[in-house]
Amino acid sequence: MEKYIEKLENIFKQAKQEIEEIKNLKELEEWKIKYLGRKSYLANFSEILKNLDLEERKKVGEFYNQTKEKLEKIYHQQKEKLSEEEIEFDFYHPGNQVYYPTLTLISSNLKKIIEIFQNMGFIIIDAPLIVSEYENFDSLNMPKFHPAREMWDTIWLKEPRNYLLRTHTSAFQVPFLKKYKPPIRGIVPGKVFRFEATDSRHDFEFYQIEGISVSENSNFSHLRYIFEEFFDNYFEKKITLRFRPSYFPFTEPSIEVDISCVLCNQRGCSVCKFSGWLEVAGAGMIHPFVLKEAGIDSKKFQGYAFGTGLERLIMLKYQINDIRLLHSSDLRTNEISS
Amino acid sequence: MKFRVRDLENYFSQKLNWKEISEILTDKAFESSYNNGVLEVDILANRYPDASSFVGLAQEIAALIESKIKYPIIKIKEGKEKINQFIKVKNKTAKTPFYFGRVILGVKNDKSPTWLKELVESYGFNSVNFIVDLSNFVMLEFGAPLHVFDLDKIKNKEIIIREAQKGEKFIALNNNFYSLQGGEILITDNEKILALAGIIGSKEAEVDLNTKNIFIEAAVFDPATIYKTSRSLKITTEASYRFERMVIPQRSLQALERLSFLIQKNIGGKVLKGRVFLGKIDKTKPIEIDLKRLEKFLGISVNFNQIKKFLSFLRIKLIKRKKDRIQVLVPEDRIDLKNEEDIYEEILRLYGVNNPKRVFEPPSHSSYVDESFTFNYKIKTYLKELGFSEVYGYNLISIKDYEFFKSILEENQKPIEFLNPLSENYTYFEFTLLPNLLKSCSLNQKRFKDLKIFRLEKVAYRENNEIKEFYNLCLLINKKEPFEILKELKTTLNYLLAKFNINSDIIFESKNCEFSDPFALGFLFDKEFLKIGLIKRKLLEVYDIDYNVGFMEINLNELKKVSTSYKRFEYWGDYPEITRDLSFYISKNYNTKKIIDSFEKLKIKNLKKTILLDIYFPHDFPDKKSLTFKFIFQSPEKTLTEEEVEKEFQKIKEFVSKTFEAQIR
Repeated sequence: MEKYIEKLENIFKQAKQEIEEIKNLKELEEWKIKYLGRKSYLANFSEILKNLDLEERKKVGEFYNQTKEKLEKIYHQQKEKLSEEEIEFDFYHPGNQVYYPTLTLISSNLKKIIEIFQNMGFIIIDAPLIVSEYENFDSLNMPKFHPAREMWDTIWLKEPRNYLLRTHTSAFQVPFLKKYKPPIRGIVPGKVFRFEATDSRHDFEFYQIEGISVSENSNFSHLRYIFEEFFDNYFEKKITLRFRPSYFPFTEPSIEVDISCVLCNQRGCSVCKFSGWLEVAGAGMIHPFVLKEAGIDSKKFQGYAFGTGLERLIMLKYQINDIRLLHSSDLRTNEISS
Repeated sequence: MKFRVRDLENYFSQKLNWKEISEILTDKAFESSYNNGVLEVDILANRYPDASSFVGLAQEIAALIESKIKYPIIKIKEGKEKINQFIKVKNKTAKTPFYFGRVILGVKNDKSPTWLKELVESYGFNSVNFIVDLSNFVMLEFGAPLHVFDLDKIKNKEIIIREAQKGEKFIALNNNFYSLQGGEILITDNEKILALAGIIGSKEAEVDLNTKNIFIEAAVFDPATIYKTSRSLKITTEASYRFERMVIPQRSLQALERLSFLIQKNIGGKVLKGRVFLGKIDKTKPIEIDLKRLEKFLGISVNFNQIKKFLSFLRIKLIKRKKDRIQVLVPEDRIDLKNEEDIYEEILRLYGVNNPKRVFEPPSHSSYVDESFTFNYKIKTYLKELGFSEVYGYNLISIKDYEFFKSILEENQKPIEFLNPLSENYTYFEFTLLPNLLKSCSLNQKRFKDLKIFRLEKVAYRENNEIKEFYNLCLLINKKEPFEILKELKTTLNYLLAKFNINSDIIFESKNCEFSDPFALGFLFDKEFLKIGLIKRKLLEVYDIDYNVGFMEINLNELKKVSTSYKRFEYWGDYPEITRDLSFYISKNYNTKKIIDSFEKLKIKNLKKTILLDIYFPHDFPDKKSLTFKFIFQSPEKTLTEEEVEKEFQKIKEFVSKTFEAQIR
């Protein structure tokens, strides 16, 4: 009887020793076959038990059962251990190569700009690209043969005559003020077209953002607030503004708007030509002529208007040095768009 | 305009720091820079008449630094003989509001001394001779162009100012020959054209070294006429540039006197008594200013003494004051100052345009965004979700693009064509976004196995002579398998329709199309809103595209009309759904839409929904197509049994086999 118990003890000892050496599931399965499989010593132990008397059978049987349970237990323990170790993962794995669809920088930036102005109470209006000579020029205090018209070289329609591709979003000032009576403030974003040679800074089409505010009070200090908030929010940093006197036939007084260089923070760089300033917008108080054209009493109402170029802002923000890259339909341009 | 500062220094008694001056100018008047003795000033268009000259700019600088200028010396010794015995001038056109002149006899013209030669050359003129160079110098000094004629070459000593007839010929000083269009202003004698007024002289009365007697012309010509003539004949001169921007009559008169003085002083001659003086110089009218309004307009508060000081620097006379109202008189050379707001600008400049501090003005209405922006942006994000990328595109297309795609336009629709196109690549406004999208496809195809791109832009055309301008969406898939392309386009369309809650069915009408095959138009509520198809091979070659291209172009105006931003909730029911699939072959000629519709008319009990799962064309039966439908049964009252459903499904099967001679698979 003792010898059987000793035999079982030895088997277990050996099995335990071996299982601790095992490094993979395949070896573990071999181990299992060896000690718990059909041909194993334990599997055929009933034959041995049969030949023992009742007392011994009971004792040895109990020991056999314990041994079997212990073997199964270490098998499962080892299996669990090995299974866990089996999943190896390098967290520098690149993941799957997926293509991320994108919108153009123009779309995503225009969205942001619209939101900024919307938050400041502006209505956002879409206006036609093809307009009359009256809307683009005459209504803005630029009669025929006015040299100021040369600031906006024009692509004219063959038919109908005296129609053109708007050269600036200001073409919608008078229609806007006729449609939305003051007090009103609004933004008109969209494409404009110029009869102009193309280079790294100029293209024959580009986006402008026109702003108009007319009320009994709208003035330069309000304009300054709007500009400061807009540029701070758009560039996501503190921007300093500089106004300079300027001239537009449809504003009086007129100003040019410079912002502190967003690239060098006024330490001086090639983009700001070491001046620390970047010219980004034109603005002014709406000329009484324009208000009159819109049927507004210029003694009662007053207001400001401004215009800025979307591409210029995008190029500064993302540091793109050629407008033709922004206007190429190459999808690589989109990649930084969110 | 570039100034040598030594030419400006003559008008100041004090020494100036030009670096500082350029900064003050930038802040308060014109963007300027100073380098190596040269002051570059970007004179604003409305200030060109008064400030684009030595005297004018000096005056502006003096105002900004609170100083005064030394005015140029004019001391003419007039002779006893009267001018009208030597020259008569007749003005026959309203396009010459002012015409002044002087006659000097017995001048000894010569080459210019070095200082003068250098001066005119550094402002871009060729040095010609003493008289001509002096006249250019005085133009720079006062900003008013002058023209000197050889008096002896003027026939009958009579000048006639008139408008040109169409077809008249003119040979300019530069020997170029011009055929006139009519309406140009001409300075003539009885026989010859002496000058194309305000632009360029002729050789006929040219001043040379032999010239003894001269007539000096100082004038103001109609800016619009000079502008037109200069553009149509393509001649731009210093004079034309200035006349276009308006010349101030007083300055013109001063320039005449100054030149007469300088000629007499430097090369002698007898200045005749009197002047040619045609035109009447109006006195400037007083402008009334409301100081309270000024503060409200500019967002500043200024005190009266400060304003008084600013006005005096600007040579603006304060003539009356009544509480908050003042009356001022502007100097005669500031023709840009016409109304109250113009004076505000002057005060703001001197006060400093950066002085009004930021103030928030509360809005008096709620904000909203034009539907087209929100709608368009939604579409863009939906397409992004489906793996499409947006590409930028120009709105203009070439003659070639137009030729390939003109069949898109209907009989009463004409393209928007340009009078002065940038080039033949940009001759028309897009009426379809497809050509420029194909160009983008060609550009991007190498880097993508399955390229999916779109554009959302405005298109335009004329319809019955009215301009139509609206947003289109065009999307394009570029890959090998044409069937897969078209299927994916349909998937995309379904997604968009679902997103905009458009439940109604689209009617497709297959058509022959010049650039696409297969090709169909899509209709919603009888309105065409969609074009869909595969681009023909020959066109793909033109646009240099490998593989196949499928496209879908949607008129967003029409789509927007039928879309809603939300829809009614539909409960899915208490009892389970039971489904049956049915596939059958049917003659190719049957319209699929009619088959779908026919199930609805069948009145099958508890049939909740019929879904078309697939259509394909079997190789074995070339005249057939295979349709697969899914039928969903559900009762609102109880759980249906298999038998109940099977009974109804049999009816459908029988109907299909009988009505369409279908072979059920």
